[in-house]
Amino acid sequence: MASLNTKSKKERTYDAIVIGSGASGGWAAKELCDAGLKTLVLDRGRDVKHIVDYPTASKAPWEFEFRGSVPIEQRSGLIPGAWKNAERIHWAVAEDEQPVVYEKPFRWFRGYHVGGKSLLWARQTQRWSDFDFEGPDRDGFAVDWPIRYKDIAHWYDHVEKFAGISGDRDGLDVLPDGQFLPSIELNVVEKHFKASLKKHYGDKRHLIYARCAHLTDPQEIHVQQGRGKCMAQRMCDRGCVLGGYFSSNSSTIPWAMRSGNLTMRPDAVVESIIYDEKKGKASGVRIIDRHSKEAIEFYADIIFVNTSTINSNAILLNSKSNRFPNGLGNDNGLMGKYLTWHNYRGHAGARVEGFSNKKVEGARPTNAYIPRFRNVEKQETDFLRGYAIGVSAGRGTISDTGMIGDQLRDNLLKPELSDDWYISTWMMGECVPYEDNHLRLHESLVDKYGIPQIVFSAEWKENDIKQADDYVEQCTEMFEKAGFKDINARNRDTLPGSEIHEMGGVRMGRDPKTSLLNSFNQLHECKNVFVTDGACMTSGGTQNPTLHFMALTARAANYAVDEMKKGNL
Amino acid sequence: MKRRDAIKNLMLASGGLIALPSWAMNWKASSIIISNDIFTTQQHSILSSLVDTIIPSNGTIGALSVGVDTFLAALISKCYEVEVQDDVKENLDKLDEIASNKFQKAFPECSQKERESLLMEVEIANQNEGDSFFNFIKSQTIRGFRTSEEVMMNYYDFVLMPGFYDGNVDVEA
Repeated sequence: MASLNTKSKKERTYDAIVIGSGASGGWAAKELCDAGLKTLVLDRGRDVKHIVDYPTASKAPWEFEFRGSVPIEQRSGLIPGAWKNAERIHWAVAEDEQPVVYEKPFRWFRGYHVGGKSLLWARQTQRWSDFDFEGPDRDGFAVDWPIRYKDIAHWYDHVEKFAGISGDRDGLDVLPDGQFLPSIELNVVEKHFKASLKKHYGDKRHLIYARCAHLTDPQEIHVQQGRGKCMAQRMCDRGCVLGGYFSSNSSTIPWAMRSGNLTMRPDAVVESIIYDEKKGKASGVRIIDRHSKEAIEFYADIIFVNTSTINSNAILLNSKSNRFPNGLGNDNGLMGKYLTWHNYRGHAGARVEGFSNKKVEGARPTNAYIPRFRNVEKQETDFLRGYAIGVSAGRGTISDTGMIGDQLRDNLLKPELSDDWYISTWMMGECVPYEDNHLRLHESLVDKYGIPQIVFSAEWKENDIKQADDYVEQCTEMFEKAGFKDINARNRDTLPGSEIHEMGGVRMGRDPKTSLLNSFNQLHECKNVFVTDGACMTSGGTQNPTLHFMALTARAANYAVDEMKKGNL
Repeated sequence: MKRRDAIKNLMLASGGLIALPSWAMNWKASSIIISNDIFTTQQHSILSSLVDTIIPSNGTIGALSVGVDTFLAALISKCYEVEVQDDVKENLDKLDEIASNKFQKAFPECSQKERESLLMEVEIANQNEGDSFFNFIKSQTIRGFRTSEEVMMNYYDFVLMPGFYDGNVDVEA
């Protein structure tokens, strides 16, 4: 029996374990496998293989029996807020999979399958600048980031070249340029808006092409991954058979698999990280098999935690030992606190006259973008930080459907171009992290795996509301100056978390008294555990955060390999 | 219509598991497949006439020719709660009732003009209800028509993989 256990334990031992296979977990797996480490990737959901497990990819609307609708029996028991349309229903999570306590209203969107939300993301990839890294220190909130742009620039390059990012070199200090594939030309109305901003705001406000993780011109490295050119199907979140956009499933996971060093273990719900009191470091991970409910332990020298912000917090909080009674690495009690997300409360739309001789043909996977212009160089407003703005203009077609019979049929068969173009914009604001915006584990309620339930307690703050009011005011002014009509700009009372950008709780910092991770994403108090997903964020910036997580992960993984070689882990 | 009904009844009686006799092969597949749906044969006929009234084919293309009736029956049977289903069934029966009161025949037997006038009456009666039965059926009929293969391919130039974007195209005068 003893020898059997020894053998069995050996089979469950790896050089590295990565928990989570989304965008950041996929990158950890790729970098560690490339460095020759035998790596186990755990994911709590089912396996999703590139192409073969995208059941609705490239399907036309008429190929769905109920078109977009989903039968009631298939729809019931899913978490509120999950996508419930035929095209994406296979990604939805069942409510009993992981019940959650919302002490205050919050929307938590989950992607529980191999690849996670890398299959579902908006694929927007804007770099951080030092204006973002220096924010907390300058404006006196959270703690200072332990890194600056120069520390991560190389890793942005590294990730961008491999993932494939379409963009323009805009030369803006608020949004550094990267390694770009060709962009797609903005449309005539967006160009008009761009020129108007330049005319009225000079060098202070810019409208650019929104950089995105799509292959507009695949390079050798992308061909090696088996990926092809983006054909603008605009069905990205069903999975893309072309590999036209970056996902773990199309890119990092199969790449790591080809190294021969990767073992994938889907259906592995992580209960906790095991801490070895004698060695003074983590020794493995305890999982519950999703089907058999059997508890299994896996062992490794280093552990990467990449299960998405909320779960990474929860797993660490649940990893209790004599040394860490409040959760792994949580000596200061700050774990789960300073939760942040992005402020998407603002939305605006307007009618655009004067371009009735122009229209759009084809499709594109991205839009236009106005980088942050508020409080960039110094504090200028009565709220902290600022917001970027997503911009998209277009011209639709309409059919008068105010009748029935022959006329209705003829109208439907011959849609007419609408008289005018329309433009819409959306706000992407930086929420300042507050200590009382937090998540914690429930004292008594557990899920069906026996794991404590997560309690959310987070809300909008006055700074967020003021920031969104400013967006409404400024957007209205920019629209007026551009000559747009019927302007409708609003500060909407949406649920926090709706933008799916939750961040923080295990923040990076210099001082173990006020932060949980060091400058290389190691837990201050348990150096062989790295947290490189959204949980590590000290502050949120205004950029869609995935690119940042991926670059931090690649940086930390390479550091971990170096440290292992030096015998430091 | 009678022969079609007869087949439907036959299929229903045997649970839809019988092999089709060869003479049935002449029928369009969509008109004889029995989905496990909630409607009686007569309600099916009314629903078909209803979508045909909203978007008639007039010799070219219409709701029936692109299978909107099949789509609607499946949609309502599988994707809506019992309350909505009951409401739809009740309203279909009511249409027949109004038709026989006014024209002394069942709704499906009425002419297009007669059916249109009946629907106008129903719509006016329900004007104050935003999601009236009529609005619901009409919007779903339009949805089914617009997303059909025939309409998307032959009239909307649907392209699965456009692969290009041009935001500065001149509109032909």
